[in-house]
Amino acid sequence: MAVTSSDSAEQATQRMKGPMEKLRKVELARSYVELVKDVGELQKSARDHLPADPKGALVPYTRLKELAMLLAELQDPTEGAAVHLVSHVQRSADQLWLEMRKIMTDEFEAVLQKSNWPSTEVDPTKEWDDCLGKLLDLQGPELTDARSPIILLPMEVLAKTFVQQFRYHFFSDKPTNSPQQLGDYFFEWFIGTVGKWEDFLRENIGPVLASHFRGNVLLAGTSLFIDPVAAFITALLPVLKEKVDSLLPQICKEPQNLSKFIDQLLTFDQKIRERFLYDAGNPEYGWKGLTWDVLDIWFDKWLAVEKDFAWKRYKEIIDNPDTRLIDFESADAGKTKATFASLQIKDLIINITKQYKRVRRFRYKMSFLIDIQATILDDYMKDLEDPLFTFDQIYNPVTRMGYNKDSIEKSRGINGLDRLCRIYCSAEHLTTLCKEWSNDAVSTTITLFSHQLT
Amino acid sequence: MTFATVKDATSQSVGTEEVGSVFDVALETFARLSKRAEDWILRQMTNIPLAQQGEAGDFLEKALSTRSFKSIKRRVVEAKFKDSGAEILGVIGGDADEDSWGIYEDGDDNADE
Repeated sequence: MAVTSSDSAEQATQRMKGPMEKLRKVELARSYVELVKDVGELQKSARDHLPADPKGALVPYTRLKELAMLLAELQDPTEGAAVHLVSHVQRSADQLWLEMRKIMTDEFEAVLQKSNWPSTEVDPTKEWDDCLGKLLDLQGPELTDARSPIILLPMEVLAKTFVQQFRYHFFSDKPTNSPQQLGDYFFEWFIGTVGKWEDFLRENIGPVLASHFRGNVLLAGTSLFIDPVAAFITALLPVLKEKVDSLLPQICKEPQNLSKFIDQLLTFDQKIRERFLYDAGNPEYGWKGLTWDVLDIWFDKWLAVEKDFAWKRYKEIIDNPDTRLIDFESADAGKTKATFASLQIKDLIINITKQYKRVRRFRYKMSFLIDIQATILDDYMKDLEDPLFTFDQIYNPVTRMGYNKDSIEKSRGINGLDRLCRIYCSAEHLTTLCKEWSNDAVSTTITLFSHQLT
Repeated sequence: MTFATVKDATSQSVGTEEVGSVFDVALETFARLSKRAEDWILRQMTNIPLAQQGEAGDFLEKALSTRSFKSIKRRVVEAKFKDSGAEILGVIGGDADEDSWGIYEDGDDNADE
């Protein structure tokens, strides 16, 4: 009608614009509704497969997830069009995943409840194994795409009761939750719990994991998926990290406690690595440890605290006149003796090395080395060098006039020899320390540094 | 080069293999210091009054390693015999004419090898 009643083609085109636009909108609305309907159907289809067939459920879920990703990608070129539709699809996909997880984990939880879990007496049934396998099937794509340590779903369910126990002991108003206890209880609890369940996990969960991942080129070589103890640790670590993160702000203003707690953390990390061979799925460099993230935030504070402690101890040593004497018992006859001060400073330097030796970041080790150890050695070197300068001055006819008779007398004869021997013995002792220290620390730091480069 | 220098240099070079320089400088510094102290001990022994030489020698033997003790002793003896001791070492107020440690300890040089 619009066409036939028009006088010219241009007029007809003009008249058609309105209806065509309406038609486009209707078509768009239809597609919109279709898409929403498809989303609903995909959701329903996924639900229908559960809990019996998680692999089957993954098919519609994956389609929905891909649809959400595609829409998000298309949104940019269309200048953010259909924002509600895009967020609806994304939300639906996320929600579906949570639902699917819940259906499957609820099923496993019910099985666990029936078998009185947790008890080392539990004899896992075929139902256990089936549920475990189905949860792993459901998590398959997530595991393949994982770029960081991921908790296995069945292990999350198995660990749930232990996470609750942890919260009960260490997040409630129980005495075990006192900040002054630092990690005394909860680190021990963690290691004790993993140790207690180690055999059970290896005997009962290990074979299920091994058979599930057998032949999977991507996942079979990852300890987190085939070592049940590593998977269990991974499942428990988040609650421990939460505890550590909540404790640090409470103790950061107490230098003694902060220092002690970082030491406990480093010890804990080391025990987990050594006792359970935990590598967080990274066989080349190993687990970075809880300390890694903690030091990202607290390193400067910790360094300041340790520096203060070290400096106070150093001052205590050199301000005590008795420490300047030679300790004739410090070495066998025929060997150079050390002064009390040099012995104590050597101990101090070694103790500082012990503090940072277990830290994994190269630059943190360097900070301890430069800010604390080199500073102390620098000061001690000056302390030893100054009397030699005095000798230079006193034995020089020009500069000697600036010194009184008493000072000159002290630099002569046995007195002077004693003073010189103290310097010599101290410097010799520190030279020996530097040789030992150099071999030890350089190899450690250089090795770690090359790791970080890669 | 002091630790302060090393500190600055190494702070800038963190992330390079120059990290070894901290240890090298520490080692060199204390080794140099002990060498300076040893030279002074030598000067002191060369100038020590005869009456105190025995006591000084005993003290030195107790404090130092056999190797260092003997090295110092040998050098004192050499210095005194070669050019009246004090003069060659540039010591002011030395007792070059007095009986030397070398004569005092004559024949005992290899006793503690």
